[in-house]
Amino acid sequence: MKIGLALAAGGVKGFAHIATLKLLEEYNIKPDIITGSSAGAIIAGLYGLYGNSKKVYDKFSNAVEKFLPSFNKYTKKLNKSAGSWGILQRSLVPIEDYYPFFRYLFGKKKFSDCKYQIGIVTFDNSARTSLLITEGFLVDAVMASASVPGVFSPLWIAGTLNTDGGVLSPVPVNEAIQLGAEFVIASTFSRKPLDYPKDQMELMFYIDAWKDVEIEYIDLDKANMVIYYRIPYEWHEFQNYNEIYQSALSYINERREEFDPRYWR
Amino acid sequence: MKGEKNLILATGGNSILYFSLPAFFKACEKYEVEFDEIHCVGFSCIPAYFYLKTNSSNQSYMYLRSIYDETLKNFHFAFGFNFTSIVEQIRTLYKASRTLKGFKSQRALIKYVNRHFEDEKIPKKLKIHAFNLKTFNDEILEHDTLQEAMIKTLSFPLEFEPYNDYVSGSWVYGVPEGDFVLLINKIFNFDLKNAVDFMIYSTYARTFKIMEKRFNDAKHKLRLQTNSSNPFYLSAKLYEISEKYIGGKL
Repeated sequence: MKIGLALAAGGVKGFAHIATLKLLEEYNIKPDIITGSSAGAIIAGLYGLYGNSKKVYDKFSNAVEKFLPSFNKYTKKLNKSAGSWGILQRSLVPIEDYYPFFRYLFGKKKFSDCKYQIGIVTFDNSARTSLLITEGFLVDAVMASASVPGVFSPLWIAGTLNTDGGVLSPVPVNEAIQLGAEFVIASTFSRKPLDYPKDQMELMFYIDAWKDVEIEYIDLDKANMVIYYRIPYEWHEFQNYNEIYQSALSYINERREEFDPRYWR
Repeated sequence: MKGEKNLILATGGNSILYFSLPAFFKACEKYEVEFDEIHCVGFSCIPAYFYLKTNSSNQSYMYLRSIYDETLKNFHFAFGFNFTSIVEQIRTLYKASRTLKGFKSQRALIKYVNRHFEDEKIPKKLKIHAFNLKTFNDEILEHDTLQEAMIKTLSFPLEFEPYNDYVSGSWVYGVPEGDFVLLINKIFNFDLKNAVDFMIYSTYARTFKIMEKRFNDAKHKLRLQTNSSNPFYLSAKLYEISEKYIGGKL
């Protein structure tokens, strides 16, 4: 049976996926196919290269520590809802400010360097569909997949502009099936917004969160097992990465029996 | 589907093009297709109400013609969401990031609804949908008066302040679920330039995906894609495809 692992989009919440990987390692389960959107794409790419959850955590957390200070000025703007940057710039964060983060993570490694079959999902703005990428340089695909619309620049891939894979495939279960998975484990998080909107831009994001949940149901409907973490942080609160990872570990350890492969059907 | 009964009709409602709905009802009358319930959201609730009130496609058409110009004046996003100029973007964004008030007055919306709809119960067959921000879900407004429900379902984000915690579902899920889903889409060419364009486009893509799922899941489905900006010019085309579909020729 080909096992697929679908890793959800969610910014810093993606650190919880590493707890999922650790659990699978402890049960000696090696996924044949790993798909990821946005933060899930980062974890999928890193696990593809290193095949070890501890190495993934070390690499990702080192990157956050190294580059977080230079992102702080932008996250402050994000917290204040929309500003004039929304119409005067192509994105909040210029590409030269975040490209080093992804280069640090993936360098010039390719999909073909991975130990597992990896599928990275982006949102193809021209076709208005998800695009599944399985070849080429990891850095390009993962960066596009993690390009939150408006916050990061869209990237040209295959002749079209691509942004965050989480737009239409928040948990890329379908893509794992498309690559041949017969049993799909989905690793995902709570998506309901925490606060009632205070202004109209927040309102737009608030109702967008509902759509995110609704689309996620479509994805999860086809998953054979779902690991669902409740994480009370916004996607961009990267300073909380370790707390998120630790609470995900506790969550999964408390429910080990629920996820025991002996009961998989 | 000639003569089929006990169906639930669901219609989208993000544009005033749904004022062409009487043409669809006319085709239903011809083939004696009856709906147990009509589920609507946003603009489609207006023709659906007039049709159920008059029980006549012709009379509902006349009502809609009489309020069309005023409706067009009252709703900035009468053809769905789009940014047209940098000045408008700046104005919209500036106002949008200050309070929950929309860039148009809620009083104008209330006045419009009160002028054209009676303070009465919602017809039994009409199921008006709106999105409840407090419960974070879609709702059928069964306990409201017709006026209250109309205000809620026509409270388009950015344009109007949420009304008693409700906004139009037409910008959220696009269309309610039903046995027969009818969509009328205006074709837009998106020219994505700046950050806010990409944000809005991605949220629009999500609404579209949910609409597509509901459309594909329906037993019967009909879609009209158009460049037209006038629902009454569209009526002939909608009648033609509805007649073909219902009569089993499509």
